[in-house]
Amino acid sequence: MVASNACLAAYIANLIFSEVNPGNVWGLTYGSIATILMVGAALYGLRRRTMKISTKLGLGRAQSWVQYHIYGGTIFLLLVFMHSGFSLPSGPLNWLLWILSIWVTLSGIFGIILQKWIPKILASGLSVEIVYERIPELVEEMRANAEEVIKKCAEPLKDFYARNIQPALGTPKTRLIYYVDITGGIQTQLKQFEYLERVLSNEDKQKLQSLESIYKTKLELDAHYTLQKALRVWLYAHVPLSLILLVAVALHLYAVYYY
Amino acid sequence: MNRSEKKRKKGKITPLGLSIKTGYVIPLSRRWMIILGFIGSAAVLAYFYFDSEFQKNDFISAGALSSNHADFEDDCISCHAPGDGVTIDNCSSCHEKTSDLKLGVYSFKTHYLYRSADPVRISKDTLDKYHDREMACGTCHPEHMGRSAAITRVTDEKCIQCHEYDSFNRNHPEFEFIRSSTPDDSGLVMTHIRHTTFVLQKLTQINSIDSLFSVLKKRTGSSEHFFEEGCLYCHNPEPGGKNFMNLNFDRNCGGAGCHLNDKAVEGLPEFNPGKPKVPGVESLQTIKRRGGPGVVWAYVTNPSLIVREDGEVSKNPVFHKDPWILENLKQIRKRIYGGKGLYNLLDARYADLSISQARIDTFYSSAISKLQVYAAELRFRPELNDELTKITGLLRLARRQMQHPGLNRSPDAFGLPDYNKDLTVKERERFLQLTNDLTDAQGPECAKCHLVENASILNAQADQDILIRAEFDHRAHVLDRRCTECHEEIQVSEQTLKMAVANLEEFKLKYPNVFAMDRSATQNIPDLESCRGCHTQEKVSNNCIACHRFHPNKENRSSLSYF
Repeated sequence: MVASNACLAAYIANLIFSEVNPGNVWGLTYGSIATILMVGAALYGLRRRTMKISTKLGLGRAQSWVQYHIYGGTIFLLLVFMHSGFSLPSGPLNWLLWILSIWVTLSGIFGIILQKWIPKILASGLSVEIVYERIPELVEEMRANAEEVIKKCAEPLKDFYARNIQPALGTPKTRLIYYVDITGGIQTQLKQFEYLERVLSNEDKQKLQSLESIYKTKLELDAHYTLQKALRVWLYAHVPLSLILLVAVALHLYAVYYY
Repeated sequence: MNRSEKKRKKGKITPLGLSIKTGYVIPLSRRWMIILGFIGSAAVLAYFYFDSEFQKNDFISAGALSSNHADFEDDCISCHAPGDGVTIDNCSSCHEKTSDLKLGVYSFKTHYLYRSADPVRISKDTLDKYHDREMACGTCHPEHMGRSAAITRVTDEKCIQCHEYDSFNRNHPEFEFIRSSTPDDSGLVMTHIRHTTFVLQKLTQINSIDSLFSVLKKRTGSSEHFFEEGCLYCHNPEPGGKNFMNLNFDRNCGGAGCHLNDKAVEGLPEFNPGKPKVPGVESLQTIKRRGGPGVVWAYVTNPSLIVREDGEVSKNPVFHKDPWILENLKQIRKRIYGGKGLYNLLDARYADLSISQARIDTFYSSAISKLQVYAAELRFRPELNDELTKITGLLRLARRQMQHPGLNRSPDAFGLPDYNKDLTVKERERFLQLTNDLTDAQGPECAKCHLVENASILNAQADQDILIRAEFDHRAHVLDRRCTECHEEIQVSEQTLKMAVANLEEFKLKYPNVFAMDRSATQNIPDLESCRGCHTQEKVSNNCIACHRFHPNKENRSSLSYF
């Protein structure tokens, strides 16, 4: 907040004392600071991958780096706008820079939001805690358990399993409803078991309850799969484009200083 | 949960009792993020290379060039010097011609000189002082703004970096001629109000003022500005409509038979060379016999125009710039002031040249032209060698004044010399009286319009351009404002027009201020506040470039050679 206010105060002073131009002293200053912030933010990725060396060299805590990455990246976008005078760019490379800057910053902010929000809701409405990478193997294990349960049971139950349960146990499924409702309508889905229970024998009722338990767990694994996937996928929208942004900025600097 | 229960539960997760992983769960690789990033970066770099080598290098361009420069848009090096940006030299390679090498039309040096014509402004001290304010061409004329960009439209912020005025409407200095209360230097005896009525009467052939005004009001459809036809009879717009043509006697004053219509000099005493201290005018024969600079006209003048009779000389008719009158005035000056200097060689005397350097330039230009003519006339007249020597010396001096900025360019060196000590005061007064007779307002009429001082007619400044640094385009204003809505210092109105002609004495009594202002010395040009009525941020443009030009008119390149 302090840094943003300082930037905006500088811009207002610019408006009063000079003209807004990317090429004058003011504009070049904004651009230079933005570049420094951007490079510093980009180094965070390197810092993450060189934990041992960074610790050895005393390059600071990872948390500090994250904080700089987040706040520096946000101020970077403000400085980009100030550098361009809050106007639309001209020329292909400048448009690319402008769009990438906005996209990278906003995707980063989006990632922060996801990282704050998703763990909370995962912990709030689900009874299981699962590591994302294990979900496929666990789904397979549950399918095997279900197949074992259904081997010796009445036809109605076998039919029910084949129609309603077996397709769900195939693979982890992504369902967007989990972003809105973490339970994903699990209780509604479990009602189908209640209807069948009335017509089964006591032995089959126990097997039905096992299947219900497996099905419920599978639904919760789907919730984990859907939400934790977002936490991983958003980086693909952020990191590759940030690398392209780095290259584009380098080209921009070359064009400005060479020509 | 007790220890045995915990033992049973170990190795299982979830109520289903799903198995735990015995080894470390390796997170999914994010290598692909980096790979995708590098692929994208490589694509960008590849496209940049392809574009710079095989296409128009558009990728890193900041935008299309204006139509002025579109022809070499493919060739960045035309303007961009590698490592230096857009240099002044690159712009100059096209925009300066070879003859501009010393100053350049578009250089800062020329800007300092432009309008002011003051060579001190390009002295070393000035250039050193303001060196850090100088900007490259591209700073004011940015390119890459698209084909239709008007790159000559410079924003005020560029000008304000040196000229520290907030805007036209705040803090802008008043016109210089108003700040310094500079009088009009037309050098004429002239009243606008009476002239306007007289001109209208002549044009319409209606002598009755009431009938005249009635007809004009009907014709023009205006009851307040019906008389402007009279203004425009003398003040003729240039073809472009921006300015008005210089006043010209033949076109504006004598053309309609208003002035010098059948005027004459009657019976002035003839000059006797044996009695040089007795005032008299020279006859044609005397002038021819005497010879000298500027008398070639005498050999082609009809002798019957100048009559000698009983020791008196008459001339009928007299013309505007009558060479006989002017030659006699020169001889009178020679006798009053001696034969040195330029004063008795020029036809007219230039009074106040302090208005602008342009006026000084005009003086030197006309003096040089005149002296060149004299020198050419005397070149094959060995008996007039002394005169030729004097004239050649004066010519050299005048040229040096023009060509060397930094010298004292005041024309005082060519001004009024001391009186001839051989003449007494009374004798001098008699010569001055002869001057009055020779230029009498009732006779030859010179003094009716011209100021005559020190045996010399004051130069009539035909070019009335008074704005030094600004430009005013009349054509741009003529639809919105009438003449006297701006030029209102001399109050031309129906009442004053009528009374000034019908009853001059009553006019003087009833409108004393109007009468006092109606002089040729009155500039009759509005001040800045008048302009601010329309030129504001909300209305008509109040940008610097609306009235000011940074670069001089490039069609006047030859004027740069003066420096």
